[in-house]
This record gives sequence, structure tokens and C-alpha cells, in this order.
Amino acid sequence: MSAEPKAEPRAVPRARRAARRPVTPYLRVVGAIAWKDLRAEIRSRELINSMVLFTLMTVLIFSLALELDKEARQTTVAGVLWVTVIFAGILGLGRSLAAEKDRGSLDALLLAPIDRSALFFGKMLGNLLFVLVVALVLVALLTVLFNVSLFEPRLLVVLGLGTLGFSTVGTLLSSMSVHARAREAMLPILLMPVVLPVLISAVRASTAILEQMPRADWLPWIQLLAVADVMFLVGAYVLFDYVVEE
Amino acid sequence: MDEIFGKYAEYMALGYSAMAVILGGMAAWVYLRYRQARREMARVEHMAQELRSER
Amino acid sequence: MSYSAQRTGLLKGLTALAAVLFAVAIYLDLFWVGPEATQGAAQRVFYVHLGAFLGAFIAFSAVVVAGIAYLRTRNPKWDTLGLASVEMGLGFSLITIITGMTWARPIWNTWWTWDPRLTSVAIMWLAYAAYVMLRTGIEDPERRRRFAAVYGIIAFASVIFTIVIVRVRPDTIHPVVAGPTQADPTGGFEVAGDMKTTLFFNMITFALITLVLVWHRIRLENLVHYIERRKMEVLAELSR
Repeated sequence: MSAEPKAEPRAVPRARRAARRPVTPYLRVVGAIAWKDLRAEIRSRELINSMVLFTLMTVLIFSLALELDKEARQTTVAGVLWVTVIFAGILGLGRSLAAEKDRGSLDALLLAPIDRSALFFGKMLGNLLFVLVVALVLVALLTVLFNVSLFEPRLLVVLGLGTLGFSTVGTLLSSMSVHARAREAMLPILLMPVVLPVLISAVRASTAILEQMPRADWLPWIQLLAVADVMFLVGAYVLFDYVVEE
Repeated sequence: MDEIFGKYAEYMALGYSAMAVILGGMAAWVYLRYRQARREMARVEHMAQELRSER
Repeated sequence: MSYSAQRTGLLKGLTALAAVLFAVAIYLDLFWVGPEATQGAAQRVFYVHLGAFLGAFIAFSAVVVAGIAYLRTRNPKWDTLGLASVEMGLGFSLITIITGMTWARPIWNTWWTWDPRLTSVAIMWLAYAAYVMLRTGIEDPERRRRFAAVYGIIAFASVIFTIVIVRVRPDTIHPVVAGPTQADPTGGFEVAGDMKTTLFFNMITFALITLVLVWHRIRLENLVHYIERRKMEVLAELSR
């Protein structure tokens, strides 16, 4: 009934999977890949510099554009925080994998006798670290510039969970968008709608915490955030194999 | 109109006509493209036929 | 390029049945069922609103099934199912959004409000629009099918979120018809008696319409692929 030939190559054959049995312990591979990205970054500081600068400018533009008084600052700071984290994160994600692909080192990584999911978690961990650094810089920046104290343990938990979810989905989707035409535009288009459950819960939880609302106002959002994180982690773990299979 | 349908009948009419437009648009879009494909198919077959008769 | 006459007959029959059911459903919505006590005729929009959402839900669920099936079997027919379902799902969710707006205008006194559920359904629509964008952005057909399958699965998160959001944190003003109701919905109403019958009938009708439209869309896609191949054959013959 189908118009196309049915005899397409099947999924990755079992024999090939077995041949790629990891020879190094899983966690060490994950660590090594994350460390590789980190070391390259420490040497060049290319990514983190542009992300931090971008963050600084975004905060300035927000405070200029919104012309906030003290009360309005209190209610919008969580939104400003998360929007900036997401945009700076997209900037970082786009560069992280694109650079790998342009140098051809992605192919080398894929040929290495390691588990594909270890590659994913390594990449994800590297991205997570960058986003977390930006988020922490931002927390300090907003505390000073918006005169709202953001150093609050519960908020840091939200920050951790939110950036975890973001970099999980982000790493998966950016490994797809590097193959697309107009990849710089494609990544945000693909990423934003999918990462929204994470973003909404993170913003809602942050706002409730900063406004000293009762526990019932922020706990459900944190729970939702955790559930979304687990869902995305499992989904990305399973699907990454198919994205990078060639 | 309100006596038949109840109050706010104009909003109901708006909602239903919007639905009709979108649903009709979906069906028409598939249909028109199908017809276009059919025509193209006929053209391709015609070309193939000509080719065969030339040989 | 030929389908079995039996299948074509079945499709034709289902198409006719869907058209008849649709006419009956519209009659039930507009004339048979009485107006709601406080919301009047505006509430009649709700039957197609929910029916269309069911259609979108079925379509987007089919995308997930098609995605998993494609990644396992690599049979392109699953990719065609995914594409067809996304396109129809986009149409149905647009119907849900627009009919919702025409209801909200008299009841909430606004066309649109940034309520969690409204926001999440808008984002859901954008996620599937992004699916279409992704397809056009990737040239290699095998990779396009594979990435579309992956993205179709991941994008379903936005559908789950739309359904779950009002149950996790019930500070939405959007009424919940099935399941526990939230603290203070604006414009909620009881669904019972004739309303229930009408709603049920609409659900079945829209499910069938979805099936029929997706099926027709698949046939269209198959035809387009077939023409592409046939063109190649003719060209090859020409250059020989």
C-alpha cells in the first residue's frame, strides 16, 4: 500500500551494538567528555565570555525597557532571571555542538568505543555547568541591580532543577539543529515550546518563593519541575541514540 | 436569533463559522493538492507515453 | 500506485459517515440541546471546542506512536503518518483555540488571557509548527524522517502539560469539565442530561473526522512520493 519501497535498512543491527560495548567505565566517560569541554572553555573562555556579556546586556535592557519601581522589580525579577537564563543558554548550546561539528570532532567522538548515552550525559553536563555559571552570575547581578535578594536556598534548588531540564532538552535538540539549514534560528524554534513546562514551573516557583508566599504556592511547581526533569532525562537518554546514529 | 439559540447567539455564530472555515480549509487543502497531484501524474504519464511512441 | 478496492471503499464509506455524523452533531449542538442557563448560546461552542481538542489529542498521540514505530522499523510509511497527523492536529487545535476565544469574549469579557492553560495550548501549537519547520530545514530524507520522529515524541510533552497543568496547580480560570474542579473557575457549568449526550456524540464525530482526514492526507503524501519516483524513471529513460 505504501508508495515507497518497504525494504529500508532496519534499525541499528544488534551485532553492531554489541561491538560498541563500552570499554571504559560509564561514569568516567561522562566525566571525561564534560571535562574536555570544560578544559577547552577554560583555555579559550570564548563561550562563557559571550554568555556573561550577553546576560549583562539583557539585564540592562530589561531594566531600561521596563522602567521598574521597587514593587514592580520584586514581581518581575523571576521572569527577568529565567528569560535571560534561557536566552543565554540557547546562545551557549548553539555554539557548543556547532563548534564540535565544524571541527569534525563530533564524528571522532561518535566513532569512539563508548556508549552513546555517555556521550549525551557528558555533553549535557558541560552545557549544564555553563548555564549554571551564567545563572549564578545573574543571581548576583540581579541582587545588586534590582535590589532584591536572590540568595535563597529554595531558589537555588529551583535554579538547579530548571537549568537541568533546560540543558537536557537543549542538548538533545541542539544535536538535531546542527544538521538543519539556518541552524541558529532553528534551535530556539525547536527548543522553546518543548522546554516550556520547565520554564513555566521554574518562573512560578521562583516568583512564589521570592514573594514569601506559603508553601502550597511553590511546592507543587517544584514537584512539577522535578517530574518534567525526570521525563526529559529519560526521553533524551532513549532518543539521543537515534539522533546521532550515522 | 437569541430566541432560538439563547443569549450571546452572535458569539456562537462566530465560533461555529470559524470552525467551519478551518475544518473546510483543512479538507479543501488536502483535496486541492490531491487534484493538483493527479493532474501532474497525468502529465508525467503522458510524457512517458510520448517517449515510448517515439522509440 | 494502486490501493485495494476494499480499502478505498472503506475510506469512502467512512468519509460519507463522517459527513453525516458531522451534520447530525451540528444539529444537536445548535438546535436539539437547550441553551445553558447562565451562558446561553455561547456555551454551545463548547461541544466543538472539546471535540476538536479530542481530534488534536488523537492526532498528536498518533505522532508519538508513528515516531516510535518509525525509529524501530524504519518504514517510511510511519513517517507519513506522523506528518499527516501533525498537520491535521494543527488544524484541530486551531479550532479549539478560536472557538475558545469566541466563548471567552462574552463569558470572561476578553478574547484572550494569559492563563496557564491558554498559554500552554498556544505553546503546544507552536511546538507542532516547529515540527513542520524542522522537516523543511533538513534535506537528507532519511535524517529528516528520523529527526521528525524524535521531535514528534519530545513535543508531546507540551500536550501532556496542557492537560495536566490545571490539575497540578489549579489557579487557572479555565473550567475543567472532567475530573476534580479547581477552586474558582470562571464560567464553569454542569454537564448532564442532553448536554452529556451531545458532547459524547460530538466526541465520536470529531474522532472519526480526524481519522478520515489523516487517512486522506496520507494518500495524498503517498501520491506525491509516487509522482516523484515516476518522474525520476521517465527522466532516466529520456537520458538513455
